[in-house]
Amino acid sequence: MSQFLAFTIIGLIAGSAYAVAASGLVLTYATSNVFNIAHGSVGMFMAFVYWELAVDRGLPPLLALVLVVGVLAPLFGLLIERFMMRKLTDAPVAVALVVTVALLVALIGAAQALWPPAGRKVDPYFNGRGLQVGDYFITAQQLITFGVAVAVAAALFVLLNRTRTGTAMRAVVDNRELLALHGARPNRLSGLSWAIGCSLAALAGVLLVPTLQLDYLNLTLLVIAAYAAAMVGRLKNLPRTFVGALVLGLLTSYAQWGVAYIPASVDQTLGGLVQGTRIALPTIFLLAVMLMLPQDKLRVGRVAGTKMPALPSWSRTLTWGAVFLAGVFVLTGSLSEADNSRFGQALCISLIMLSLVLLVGYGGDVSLCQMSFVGVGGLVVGGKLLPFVDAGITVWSIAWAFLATALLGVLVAVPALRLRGLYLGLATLAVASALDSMLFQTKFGFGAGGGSLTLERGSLLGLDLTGERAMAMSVAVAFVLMGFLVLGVRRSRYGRILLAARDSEAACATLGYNTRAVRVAVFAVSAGLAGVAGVFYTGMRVSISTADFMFFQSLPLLLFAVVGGVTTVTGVLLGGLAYGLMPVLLDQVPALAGVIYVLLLLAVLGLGGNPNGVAQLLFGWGNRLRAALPRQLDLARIEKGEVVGAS
Amino acid sequence: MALLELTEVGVRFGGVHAVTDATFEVEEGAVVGLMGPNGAGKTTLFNVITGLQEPTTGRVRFRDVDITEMAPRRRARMGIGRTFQRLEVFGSLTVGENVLVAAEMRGVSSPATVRDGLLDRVGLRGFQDVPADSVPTGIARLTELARALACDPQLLLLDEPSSGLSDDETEDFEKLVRSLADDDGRSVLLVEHDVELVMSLCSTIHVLDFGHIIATGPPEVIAADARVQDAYLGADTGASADLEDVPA
Amino acid sequence: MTETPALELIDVHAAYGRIEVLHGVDLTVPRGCVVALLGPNGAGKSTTLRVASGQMPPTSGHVHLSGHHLNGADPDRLARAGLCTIPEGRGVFPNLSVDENLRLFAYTAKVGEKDIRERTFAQFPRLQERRSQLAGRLSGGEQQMLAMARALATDPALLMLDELSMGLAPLIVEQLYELVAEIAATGVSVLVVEQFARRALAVAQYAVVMVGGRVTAVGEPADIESQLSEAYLGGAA
Repeated sequence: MSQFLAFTIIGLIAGSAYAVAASGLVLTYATSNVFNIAHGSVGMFMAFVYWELAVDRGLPPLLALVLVVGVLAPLFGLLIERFMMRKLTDAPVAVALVVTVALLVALIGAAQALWPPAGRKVDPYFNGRGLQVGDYFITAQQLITFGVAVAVAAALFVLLNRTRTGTAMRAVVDNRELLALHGARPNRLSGLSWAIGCSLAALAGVLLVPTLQLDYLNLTLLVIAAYAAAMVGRLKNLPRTFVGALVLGLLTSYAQWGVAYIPASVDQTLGGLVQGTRIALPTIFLLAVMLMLPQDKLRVGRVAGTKMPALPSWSRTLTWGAVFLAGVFVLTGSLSEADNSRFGQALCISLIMLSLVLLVGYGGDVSLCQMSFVGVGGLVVGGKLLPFVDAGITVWSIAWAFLATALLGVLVAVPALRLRGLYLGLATLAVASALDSMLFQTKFGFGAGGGSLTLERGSLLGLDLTGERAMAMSVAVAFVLMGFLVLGVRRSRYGRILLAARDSEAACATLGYNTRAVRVAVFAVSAGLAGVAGVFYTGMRVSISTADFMFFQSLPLLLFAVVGGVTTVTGVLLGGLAYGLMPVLLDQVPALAGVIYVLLLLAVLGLGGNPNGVAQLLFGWGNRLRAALPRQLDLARIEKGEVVGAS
Repeated sequence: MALLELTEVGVRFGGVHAVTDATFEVEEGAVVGLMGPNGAGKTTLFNVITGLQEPTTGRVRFRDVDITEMAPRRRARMGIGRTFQRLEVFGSLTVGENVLVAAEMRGVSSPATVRDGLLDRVGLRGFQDVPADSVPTGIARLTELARALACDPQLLLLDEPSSGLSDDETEDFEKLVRSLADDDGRSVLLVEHDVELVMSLCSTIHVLDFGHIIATGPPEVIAADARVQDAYLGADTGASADLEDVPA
Repeated sequence: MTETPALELIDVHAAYGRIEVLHGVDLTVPRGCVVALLGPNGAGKSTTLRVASGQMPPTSGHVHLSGHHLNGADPDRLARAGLCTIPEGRGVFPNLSVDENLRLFAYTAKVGEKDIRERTFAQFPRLQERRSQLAGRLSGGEQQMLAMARALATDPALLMLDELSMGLAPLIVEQLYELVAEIAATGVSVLVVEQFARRALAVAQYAVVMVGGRVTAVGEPADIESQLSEAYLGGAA
């Protein structure tokens, strides 16, 4: 009984921290319609700032706390509201998600650049002091966490229900224009809510540091627990969010209690699945909540379509495919084995990004777990996941890599797409972290606690792949074939349905289409293609490990794809090569490591989140050149390979 | 038996009665008009018929099947097509693809032929390869019409099809709707503000006012009806004072 | 008339994207007068009002509020300067309670929240009964009362009403227009945009008729009424 009490207290305290984080998330989402996926990373960044002030600079902890939570975090909130979020209020969901993902990645990059990995420790408040309850000792830090959550709940309640400013903050979502007609300044109110939201993220971050440690990723993942809690109130209802947070806290705590009774031998037989499931509980909770919420109604109201570059003709596509293969053939002939390996790996990234063209570029949805699907493909080709598929790159293993990941994609998409498109993108982040703990770090993946696998390349369709050049060429061929496939889909009736479903779900339904089925299907196919790309990725890398498929890996992948241009094959080729060759650049200038992610954010912002990316600029220049130059000259340039091919 | 029957359909948004006790029928092959001032509940009724809005009360029957709770896509497959007042064209597709994607749903052997025929019929052949989000409103309306027709609907709901059309285009449009009923045998339910157009096209007109049907009949009767004049110009007489909206 | 008018629009053009919907609108609301802006659907009445309230920038032309040139001013600044705009389709926040809606009037009211509530409930006892209900749960008439309460509470210099009667029963509309007349009697200038012309004409001193983005007639209500049937129902009625 006293154990039960103890775990209940632990659960309530964990839930309190979730509640603080989740209430900030709900506040910003409800007042600006932008879901800040970087919410957890704001908390992470501010926790580092707190360490800098309180530990490194030796400020009194309380002063440091006030500075971080009361000054720096709100300022940061005002800043991102003014320069990022305000523009996103009416943007398509995919654009808003991509921009906030860019913020997440940039904050992690900035934290890494400012505070390079090292053992840092933040002591709990009133270290060593606390309260004895039966057998259990509640630390002062835990009491403070609980007290803060109660205070935050009360303060938010008073603000939103009893003050004019808080009432206006709620009114902003209802009808921004009408609020302006009342004489309130909607932009100031949004700024205020982002300031408070970031402040709450910082508060949750600082409170959790003694438990979670100063870790770039762990604190960032706080957003998943916060999101899961907030889903209970459909991201809008604060009281329900608090209930959700407490339930989630209790659930994780009881799970820990229960797991303690499961003998380690059982966990070993299950290959680490027991611990993995416990860690993935927030994700499981999230998916369960999604399945329990009533299905969303169809919305009338067209999404302002992003104009996409024109579709190239088949003859153009074939020509450029051939030019590309010839170019790769010549290039790989002149490179060393090591350089061919690097080039091939970069090309693999482009291949992975091709799977995003269907989903993000055409379908307007977002996946933040594409690298996890790649990992699943890697496990299949490594002979790990499916007992009837032997290790080796064969047509058989490629087919199964596709099927296994596509099936997984269906499982992810079905619960999320009962609701809205936004929820799918968010759910994929949770799924990425769950796959890490429930698959990759178990014996069904890379072994309990993580590990790696090494692949004998062998030969594919009689072609010996052991050489780096041969393997890189096979990746190039796969890229061209998959590119044809993607463009083929775009030209087919499925491509038309995909775009139609993105533009207007209501109109699609009145033509007789099942738009949800369409979107589940495209998510599944995109996952399947990522699985196929995983086969080649594993082949090219020879050895892959748990670290390659951590949730974070999928984020820069998406961002580089968007910056390159996720609506075109050319775009992802550019994006993939840029991302894939980044390690080469970092070898030369290691100091750039974190800075690159910040630059990525600036690139995303510079393009205004436009998914046509750099490729569209290139097409624009290409078209202008073609118009300006005599025809022969133009052709000569193309033959010299100076112009990057259209799609 | 009428093709479409609405029985005492009511829709409430919070405490606002958007539609109250709407009861009417659309016969096979008839062109029926729905008139009424802004906010009278016409578009809401269209959403109820196509399944985008669940009614609070009442039933909807189509081809003698109760479709009140049927998913929109199933109603579409049963033969209900529509256009939208606030255009819902597929902006990332071309005008031709907008029609093609609908024809493909129907599963005909040659969707491209259907598309070509329909583009000719509505006079958009020249716009086939133009992206739908860059055409003027009038063209977009015709695109939606052709798209709806590509599903070969038995009942076609047109929501303010003539707004944004020039006088010449409206004249062509009138002929087109007439031929949809006379030549194809389709039923058309028309929401329209162009009174002249409604009067000349429709065999029966229902006039909605604050959610109630206040008059029903052929154009001559409607034109002479005092309540209709009141609905459009504001009641002078209190003729419909018994219809005070009841708080929730 | 030597006094500066409450509102003056001079040759205002406005467009949604590339489509121009106002082709040079001239409109004057003399101080202390009620002006009815009439016309069929799609005539550009609401757009004219949106331009005047700062919700939409004109592409050319001038807007003067009490003699001040105000092209490009934000709607919230205009509101604080004494312009009360009640937009089409009920100007209330459906997810806030009646009391909370009233609380937001305080941005422009010269009196405190308590006085706002007192004034409102004195005028509309029904709202007092429902003060803790969500505004979205009120009947259409009650919602419009709540919206109109802002005009009562804030003593604006100019009140602009868009489609006050939309979707409401005649009796309610009558009450609302009585209120408009009362507000006007306290010296507030009023511009009413209305489809149901007769109701608006009954309280107006001047009427302006718009068709197709242009002003086609200006005059006294009695002169205007005879032309209306033609403008609204075409030749059919």
